Amino acid sequence: MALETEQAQRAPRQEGTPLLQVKDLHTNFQTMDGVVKAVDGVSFDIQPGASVGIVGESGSGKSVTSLSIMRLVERPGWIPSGSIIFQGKDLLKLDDEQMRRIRGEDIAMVFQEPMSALNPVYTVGDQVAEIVRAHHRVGKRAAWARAVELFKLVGIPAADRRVHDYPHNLSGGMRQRVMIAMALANDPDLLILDEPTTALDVTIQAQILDLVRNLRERVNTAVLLITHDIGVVAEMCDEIIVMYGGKIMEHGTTHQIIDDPKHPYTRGLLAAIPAMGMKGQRLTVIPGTVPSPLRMPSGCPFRTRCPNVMDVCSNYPTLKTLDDGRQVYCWLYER
Amino acid sequence: MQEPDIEVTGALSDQAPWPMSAAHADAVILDETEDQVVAEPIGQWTLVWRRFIRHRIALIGGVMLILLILMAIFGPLLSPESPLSFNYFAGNKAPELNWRYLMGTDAQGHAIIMYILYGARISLEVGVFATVLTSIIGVLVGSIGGFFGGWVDAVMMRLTDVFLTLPFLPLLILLSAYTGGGNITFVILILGLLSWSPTARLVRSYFLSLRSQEFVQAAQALGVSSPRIMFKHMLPNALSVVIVSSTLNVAGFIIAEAAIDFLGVGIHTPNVSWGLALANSESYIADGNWWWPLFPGLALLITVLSVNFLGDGLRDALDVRAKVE
Repeated sequence: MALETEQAQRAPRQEGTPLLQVKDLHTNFQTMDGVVKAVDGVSFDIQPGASVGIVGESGSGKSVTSLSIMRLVERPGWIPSGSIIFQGKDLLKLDDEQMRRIRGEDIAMVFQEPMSALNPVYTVGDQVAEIVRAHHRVGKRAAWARAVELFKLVGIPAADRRVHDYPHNLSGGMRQRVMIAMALANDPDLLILDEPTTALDVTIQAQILDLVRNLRERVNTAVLLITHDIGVVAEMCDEIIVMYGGKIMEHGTTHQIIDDPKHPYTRGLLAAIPAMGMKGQRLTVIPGTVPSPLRMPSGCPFRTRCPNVMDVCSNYPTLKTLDDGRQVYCWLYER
Repeated sequence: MQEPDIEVTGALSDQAPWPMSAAHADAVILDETEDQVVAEPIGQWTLVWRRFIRHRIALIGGVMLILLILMAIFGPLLSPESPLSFNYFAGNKAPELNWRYLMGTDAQGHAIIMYILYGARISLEVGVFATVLTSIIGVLVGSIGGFFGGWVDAVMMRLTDVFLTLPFLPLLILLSAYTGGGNITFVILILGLLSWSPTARLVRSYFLSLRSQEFVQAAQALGVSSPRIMFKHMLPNALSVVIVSSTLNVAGFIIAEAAIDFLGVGIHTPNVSWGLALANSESYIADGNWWWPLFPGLALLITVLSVNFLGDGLRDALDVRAKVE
């Protein structure tokens, strides 16, 4: 319904230069027991103004992917190979100062915990104004005026007074709005939301998602949404990337992924969602548990739990592009 | 690094660097309840002041300290005599109700009250300036180490270790003796340069834990520069430990200064200090001249306690998360 018309209206997806191209990204972490490959050969594109969701369980590498794009992976983590091309520049090759200029100006990020993501010792207006001034030569007064404007934009009531509040004066939902205001301060081209609603209760969650959806129409920012909640991405995004064990399983439009999942993992994930009218039935679960990141099976990481496992699965499948344009990493679709 | 404050007025602010203008912002997404009742927020400094006022002991410490500072400034005017005048015939006098002999006299006939009034200046100067020096070095070394980690941290911490292992008192005695002592600037420098290690360690450990806080990561993710994150975002959050360790340092330095005077390698005549008065009293205590060590000792005790009380209150008052009951 609305989904199709919306997609038809949006600019043609696969044409033009993408805003962001992640190519064969690897991010490793050194641990006492060996190297963990948190992100293991991930590639995807984000078009200008698009909204892409990355879904996966804990440990699937979705958050590390976003931190890698921001180049905020810290010791003991490092990025051994891959490239992240943003507006023609490889972010992995920039020096720290160049990268600092991109953060908050071209790519901004909202974190999961609105409780701890604001500095307790400054007013929220101060913190928004700071982000403005970190990127533009404007005076204090102009930055504060901008902060009030942003507060209004993200729907904080009595914005001109709330800017003088400290984070502890605000509720979780309000703080997340402040975080979004900070992220939007310099009109970024890409907004990364890392589990933006996980720490909030359900009604506030819906408000924040509404806000992000509305803002997207207003400010034409591409959105990369990281979440474990497939319902949230289905609602918010045009495209979905499903990750498991540091690898991409399937990447397609929301319509394709939700209505017609191809990868056995995506199918399992969707089957595990309780549906309306399910009474007294057990939920379908994916058998087994996520393997330890230190003992990821060779080849397809999902093969130890996959109902369709084959001998060939011990080799990592190459990318299969199906007729409908979606990308699946699974031997089932080898032709 | 930091751009100068340019107050943008009229023409310039119209061409704001962001395309999203106030026109957009006016179309608010949620209903803006402009007319809802919002309690007028109390200013942060008002809250700090209120919390401080409620802290009875801190208030006492603060008042005492103000009196001591006034004494340090005006002491020489109040003193019945100068350190240079003495009266052999009035030596070893017990306290009596008389401004000059209120605290008795020493063996040379110097009024003890003269020691107290003139000595306040030296004790407070040493305590405060050596602490300022210690805190600056300690905060710099600790925050750089804690923020950057890795080899920078390793270098900073080994440097800290070296200063921690220096035998403080022997070195102080040696250096004081070498320069002839008596020079207060030198005493301050020595004390400050040799004692910043614990502060550095404390600040570093705080920075390590702050480093993993989300607001630091969020500031980074939005392009705030490292020096700004360190000193604007992390340091104020570590301020309480700096204040506590500083007040302890003030007390420690006042005592240390008294100690080196006592050992005869610090201040000496014609300068006077509380430590010197204590030192001189040593060989006369057996004669029953209890007033001689008592009053300088009390002065030290009161000063050190006042500073500690004040620090305690400041720490609590500056905690923005604390509630006013």
